[in-house]
Amino acid sequence: MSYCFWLDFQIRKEFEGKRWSVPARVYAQPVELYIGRHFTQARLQLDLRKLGYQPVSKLSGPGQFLGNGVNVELFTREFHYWDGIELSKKIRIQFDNQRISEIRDLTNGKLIQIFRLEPTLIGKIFPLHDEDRVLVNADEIPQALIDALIAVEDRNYFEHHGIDPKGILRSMFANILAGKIAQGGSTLTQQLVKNMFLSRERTFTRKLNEMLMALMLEYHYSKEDILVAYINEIYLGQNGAQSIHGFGTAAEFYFSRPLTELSLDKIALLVGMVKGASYFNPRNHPERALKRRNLVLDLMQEQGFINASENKAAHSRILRVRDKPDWSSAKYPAFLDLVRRHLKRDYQIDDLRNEGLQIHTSLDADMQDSVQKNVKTSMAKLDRAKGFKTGTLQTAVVIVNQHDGEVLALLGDRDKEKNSFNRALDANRPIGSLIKPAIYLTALDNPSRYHVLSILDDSPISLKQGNGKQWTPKNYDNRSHGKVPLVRSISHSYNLSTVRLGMKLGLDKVIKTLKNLGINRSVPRLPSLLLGAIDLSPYEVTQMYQTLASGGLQIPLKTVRAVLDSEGRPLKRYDLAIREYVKPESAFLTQFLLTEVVQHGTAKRLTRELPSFMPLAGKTGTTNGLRDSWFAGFGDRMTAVVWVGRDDNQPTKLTGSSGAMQVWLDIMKQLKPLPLTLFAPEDIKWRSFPDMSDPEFSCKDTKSYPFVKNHIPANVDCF
Amino acid sequence: MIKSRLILLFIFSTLYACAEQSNRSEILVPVEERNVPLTRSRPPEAVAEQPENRRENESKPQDSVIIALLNEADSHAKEGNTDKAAATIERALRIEPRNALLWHRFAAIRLQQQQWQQAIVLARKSNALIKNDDALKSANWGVIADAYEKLGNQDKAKEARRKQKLQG
Repeated sequence: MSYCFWLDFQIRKEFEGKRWSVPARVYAQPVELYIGRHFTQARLQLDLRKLGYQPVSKLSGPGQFLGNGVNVELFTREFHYWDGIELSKKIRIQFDNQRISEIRDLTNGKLIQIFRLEPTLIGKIFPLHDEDRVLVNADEIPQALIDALIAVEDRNYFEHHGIDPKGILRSMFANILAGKIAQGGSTLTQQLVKNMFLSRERTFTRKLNEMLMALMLEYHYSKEDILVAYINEIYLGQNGAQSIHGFGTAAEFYFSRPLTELSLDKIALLVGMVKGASYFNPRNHPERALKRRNLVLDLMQEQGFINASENKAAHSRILRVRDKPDWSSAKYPAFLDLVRRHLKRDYQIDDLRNEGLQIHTSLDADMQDSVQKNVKTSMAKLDRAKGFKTGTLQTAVVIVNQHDGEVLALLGDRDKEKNSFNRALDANRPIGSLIKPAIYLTALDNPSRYHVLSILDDSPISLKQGNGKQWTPKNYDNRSHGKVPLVRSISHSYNLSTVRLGMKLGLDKVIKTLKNLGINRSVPRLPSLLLGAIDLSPYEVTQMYQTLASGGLQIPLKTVRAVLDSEGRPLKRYDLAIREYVKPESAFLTQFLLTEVVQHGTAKRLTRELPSFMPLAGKTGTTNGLRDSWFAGFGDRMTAVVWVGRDDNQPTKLTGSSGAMQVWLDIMKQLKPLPLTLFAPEDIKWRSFPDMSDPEFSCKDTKSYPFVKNHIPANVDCF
Repeated sequence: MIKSRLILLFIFSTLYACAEQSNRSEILVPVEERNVPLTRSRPPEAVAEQPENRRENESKPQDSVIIALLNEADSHAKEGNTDKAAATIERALRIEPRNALLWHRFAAIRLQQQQWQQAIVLARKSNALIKNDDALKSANWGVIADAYEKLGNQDKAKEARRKQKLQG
């Protein structure tokens, strides 16, 4: 008797306190659809299919679309964002000349200016026991699901009190006839008890406990409560290490859409799997699963839940299961790694694993997919060209929106699915000439002494390093170029003039500039720093170039826009925070220099290969012995940094221009960046002087150069 | 003060198209217009002076989108929901990162949130994007002056106030 009390207490404690561990869901940024946006119908249809929208001939519920060649009609799903709810609505989108020309609400005829599709799920952060779960409420359970469960698993569910003697007798009879155990007599309540409270062993005591507990559960709770718990608990498959629990999770896993949107045949398929999720797995055993589905449908008809024609229609539907779930944490591992690191500052790992938090991020999934595809081809090309075994060269790519610091794409390995070593964040490599803009920025920050046409000395120099050793830097072409204008010194990446300039400015000043650009780690105070003898990760380099690209505003790079709770209520938003440590005029002049690198200097090849997207700005970087190949560049909105190197730190045989810049170029050819608009601050004035940008045409023509007001030279010497 | 600023901003958002014109004076190619070949043979300023480039100043179809988002941000801000207002402005900025009015609005929201330093930076950013719009420039100096007053930096506040009046 006291055992029964104890059991009863346990059950109530467990069931009432039952809060399923729900993994955090991580989303990419949503696709924004608005009037005037460059967008094609084909791309929209592709995006909709990725989100599990079904093409139909007439819209009848959320998650459907209808494309007729002229426009796309869709029935959107409701989705909670940090700043509000996008309600489910029927809309029509018209296209004109590859642009969205009109968006209309079909219910009230009103025009819509802008709306968001729900974001793509890109990953989950799982509980320690690795259960995946998408919880559904009572009002989200389709009647057909309840009917099918009753028909197949427990036809007296609404009559019995937890155990079903009639059912047991029936199954015993059936088992004797079949000569084996073909039917179990367990009620839904017993199955739930078994799943929730008991071990998997098959003993008489366990069976007795199961029955007792089922009776108790039925005594305390309503049939509806028990059914909802069952629907959220039952095991329906395996996704690698994660087990799929509940019909909501299974709908997402097998069909990429919410449970509410499943048709009768799909519901029947899932209910058929209750008996054996791996045995009837539609991906591995489609014929078996189909047969089982049809049996479920027949049982539903037999018991009057559906009529013959509904059964026939559902029978005729082919198994349409997604080959694999549309989301996978393995798809964007490097980005998710960064998201986890960012979240760790504010969240306990347990909350992330169990509370069903919704994490909205900045990932541009289309861009990331394009980058991954292009990098794969580019890297194979580079390996071949340099005679390396495939896979020798490695890479990392970071792309951000320089205006708000949001990370749009991130790659930590040439193979998109591998991320044992996230090179974008953890490969700290000397940055070579990528450091040079910091030196020239330091100079231009003092406009009374330096301007873009100042004459620098590119003659040989030898310096004592901190360790007492003598350091004799060389130019890449091993020549000295004598007197050179500042603009050409950086555009052609001359080392000697840069080192001389840096030493004149002072290492401390250059180090301060690096800090102002967003480099937080300690910087070695050695002359070789001036040629990039500082180990930085591609991510840190991106922060540095973001500051330059945004005109001197340092915006800490971020991935997480907002966190919502499992019900879609806003918890935390990550604000845009700007630091202004660099004078806008100095940043602008440096930007100008970086456009010169592309127009006339080491990155000139970009102008040939991307003629219609000029002007861009960028800088190549190569380190000693051709070990690291870098390119950092930006257009109007995107700043992208590429590193190419080897994990064993051996020579790549590549310069910044022949390696990383090639990868960068291949990426940009697809992304088609907007041309950079050089937006001069008020205090910048343009003046014509002899053209000194290109050594070949030097002094033959004139050209406009930017200067800080009140510091425009009266005349300059031409070299 | 904040209230009057809000009224001012509301007027700005309705005058948006005009403000946009001047902001756009240096944008060589309309946003998202990715297929137009472009070479920069002259500095942008010289280009902007050419009369034939005036047509770049015509309003674009997505202007109405920005206005819609500005209105949404306004109504969030009026309800005191400045976080949502800021989120809406950020959303608009992802569409048009060089829209001076949006940055100005952002600065005003930061002022409402008592984030004085951020208000100053954002108003300055807005000013950096304006070429010929004295009213908007003056409004930005107003934000800067307010913020410096709150920070107790009277000298800078006075200087900003002077610039506000000069351009107003």
